[in-house]
Amino acid sequence: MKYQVNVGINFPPGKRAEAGDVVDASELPSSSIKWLKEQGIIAAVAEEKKPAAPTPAPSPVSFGGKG
Amino acid sequence: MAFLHGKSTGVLFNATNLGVYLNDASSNSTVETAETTTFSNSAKTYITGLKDGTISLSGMFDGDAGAIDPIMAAALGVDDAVTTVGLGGFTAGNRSIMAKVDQTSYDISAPVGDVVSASVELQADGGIDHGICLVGLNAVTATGDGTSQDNSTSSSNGGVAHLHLITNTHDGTTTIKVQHSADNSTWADLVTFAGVATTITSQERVVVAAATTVNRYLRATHTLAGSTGGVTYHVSFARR
Repeated sequence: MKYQVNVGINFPPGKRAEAGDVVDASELPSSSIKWLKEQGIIAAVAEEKKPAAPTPAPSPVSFGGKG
Repeated sequence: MAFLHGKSTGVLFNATNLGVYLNDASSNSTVETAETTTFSNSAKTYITGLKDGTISLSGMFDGDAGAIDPIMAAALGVDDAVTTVGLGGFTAGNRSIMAKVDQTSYDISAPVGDVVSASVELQADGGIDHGICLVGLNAVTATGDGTSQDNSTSSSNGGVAHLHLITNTHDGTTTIKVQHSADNSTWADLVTFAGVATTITSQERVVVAAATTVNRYLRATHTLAGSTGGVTYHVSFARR
């Protein structure tokens, strides 16, 4: 989970994120995330969907050949 | 409960430490009351109206450059001076009286048998707020944070912040902020004062909009962009 910072924040250990930065949830103190979200100081960033794995090309089927 | 002696009182008027010239500071906060008594009442009733306030300062005359006389003579007729009175002195956690003021009088008295005195009357422009000192007269030479001030609960109606930057020998821009926190761990910017350029002294009053949450813990922070010299500043904040 990642969060966009809407208002500059200082968080331990001695880190700083400015408005517009995106930080990983693991960087923020877990006890702070709730109130930061409630007050709109941070907002969850929608996870980008990973592109689907390419479908393997179908094996060629021969017609009229030897069955 | 702790009682205070008046001897430690501090007064900051814009970017000047006026306290060194003064021996009396008083404030008066009022609110209008409009009478709502009707025939059916047995006692008068009222509703409250607009708040108002004044600050009075008096002390010794000093005509040196940057002293009380040139400062207060120049302030007469100038709108919106930022004024903070520190009760018990400018120490983090102490109560402060805060107002944007218009000076309404400046009196000088020179009696034959006594010291020349000066007194000033200040009309609050927007009422008087009662807040706390987030730092004292903080002399700093490097980036850092003030101590956390615990209000024991949050408030939800904004507030007002005062900055007085009274000495500046720093060789870079100084940025001072008020930050708040719900857990005393992660801090969010609440007020960012305008950056103060090298060697400039400054003052600023910022009103935090009504209905804004101000979390339980408050602190001031200072970021000094240069490498030599330092600044002395004070920040007070009043919740509303």
